[in-house]
Amino acid sequence: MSYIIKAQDLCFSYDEDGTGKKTVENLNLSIERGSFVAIIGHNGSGKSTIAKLMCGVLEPTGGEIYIESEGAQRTLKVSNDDDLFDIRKTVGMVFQNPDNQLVATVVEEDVAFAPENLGFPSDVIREKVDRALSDVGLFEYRLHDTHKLSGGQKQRVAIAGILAMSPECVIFDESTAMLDPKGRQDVLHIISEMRDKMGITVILITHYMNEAALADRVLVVDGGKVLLDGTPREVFAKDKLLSSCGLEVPQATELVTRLFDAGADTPKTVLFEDEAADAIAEAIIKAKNNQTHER
Amino acid sequence: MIEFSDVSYVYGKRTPFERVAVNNISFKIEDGLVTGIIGHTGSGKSTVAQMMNALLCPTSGKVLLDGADINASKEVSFRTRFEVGIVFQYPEYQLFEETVEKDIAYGPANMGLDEAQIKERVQMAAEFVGLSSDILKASPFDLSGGQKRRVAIAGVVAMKPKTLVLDEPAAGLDPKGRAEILSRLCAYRKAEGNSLVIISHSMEDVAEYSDRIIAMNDGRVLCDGTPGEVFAHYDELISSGLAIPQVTNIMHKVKEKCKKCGIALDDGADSIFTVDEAYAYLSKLLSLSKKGVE
Repeated sequence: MSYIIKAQDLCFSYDEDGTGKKTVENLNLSIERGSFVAIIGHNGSGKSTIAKLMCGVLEPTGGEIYIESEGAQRTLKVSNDDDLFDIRKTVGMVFQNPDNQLVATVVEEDVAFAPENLGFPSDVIREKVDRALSDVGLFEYRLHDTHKLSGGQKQRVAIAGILAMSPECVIFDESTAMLDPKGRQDVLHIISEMRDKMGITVILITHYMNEAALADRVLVVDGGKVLLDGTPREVFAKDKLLSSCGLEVPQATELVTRLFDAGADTPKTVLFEDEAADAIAEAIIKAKNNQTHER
Repeated sequence: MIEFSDVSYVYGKRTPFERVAVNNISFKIEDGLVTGIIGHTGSGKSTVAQMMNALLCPTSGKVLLDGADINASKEVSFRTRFEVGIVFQYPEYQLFEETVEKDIAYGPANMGLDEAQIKERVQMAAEFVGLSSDILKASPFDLSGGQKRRVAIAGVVAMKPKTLVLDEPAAGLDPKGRAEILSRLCAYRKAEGNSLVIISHSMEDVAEYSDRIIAMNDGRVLCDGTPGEVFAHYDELISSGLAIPQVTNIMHKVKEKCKKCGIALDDGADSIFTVDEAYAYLSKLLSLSKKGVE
């Protein structure tokens, strides 16, 4: 199992001297290369801080984060200032509000921002920009004004801007929070393409439990520590623990778990709509058959 | 009651960037109800919200508050803003005062209330959104995202508007924070008997809290009715970039599957919009109260 990001005894405090309340406390964690990991946790649990530490936006007050970069062909450390440039090339981040991330007024110029800054020759920039825009399905929009796009389209431009940098890992910090259902679906589709077709490691921070259900692994963060770590099925089976830390399970899971707890003949934990519908329909059919037998 | 009568709004009129954001719409926001407005990004929801208290003046048509045109004169428009309060998207970015107390007091102070009244309003509003009194002296910039959101909402609640319009009040909050804000707002509405308009991208939230839903698409009203009536327009909602609550979708699928096996579920299965409703319906169907199906 090869990791791309590894946090060791990671600590962080927003107080400058590092003595105050720790937002992240002795966190140990490794993210496998090529995996899709969701991080959930209530507001103020430390999710976004962890994300910012992982891409070198914040500097840890204790411990270390190691980033295994194929591009740089070595292990990078976030505490090492000389590594920051390579870290930001390796790990990209997409924020909640695309308006905070778009810098240019024309779509293709915005996407070209990173490759231009990385000093690529102009024909390579052209190629990277065109490919990134095709990957997010906005190639026809390349000459449009960024500020006239819809929220979902803007978020896709922001993603293209990161993809044009050819990152090995992309962190999405609640990037779907502002989007309408269609926009969210588009972004989630791109996320799965990134993992499946481009081999990019994806870390998705979200408050939408049905998005977390799509990941390979779910981390539940509470008080700057990892409270639960497992497959979505394992994590969402702990419905009571989740609700005690301000979270919930997807509606599909909640409904089936409640029916199971009340004695219905269903599995305890399901994750998706279709699974829930199958389980419930089966329980109804069985119950009706039994009733007929009784008569 | 707020009434939109043949209202249109055009951005950048007579420029090359002219765009019709709201296209000849009519509807009424009835007193005492929770009205949910849904629609894809760019469907005109926020433009509609801003016309509700004369921040934007319709390009054509009229917006009436209890029968009177709110754009009749500057004075009327000004007064309307105390009657209809708007909480914008990400209202925490609008906080500006030194303390939470001063920030919440800004609206009531502008209404010309005296000191004692302002104090009372601040207390009332803070209590309603669930802010403890020790937070009132803190700087709003030291608070967490969820608390900032509450301060911003309290600032509008303190004006005791008859209609409270909130644009995505729960976006970016965790599930518990989301449920708390929305249920507090609904409790506030019940206690004060005023009306609430909630604009949201979360079909689950809108389904759970609204008495009535207006779905917008490309500047027009796509459908308008109870959650049941609106979410029955399944295909139209999906094709206009919206969705229906996950649990409603599950129940549709359950009904289909049962039908294939020769079991017909009654119409109750079609009007389920919350997990509680689905649970109640299914536990009755499966006779779960009798300790499982033998």
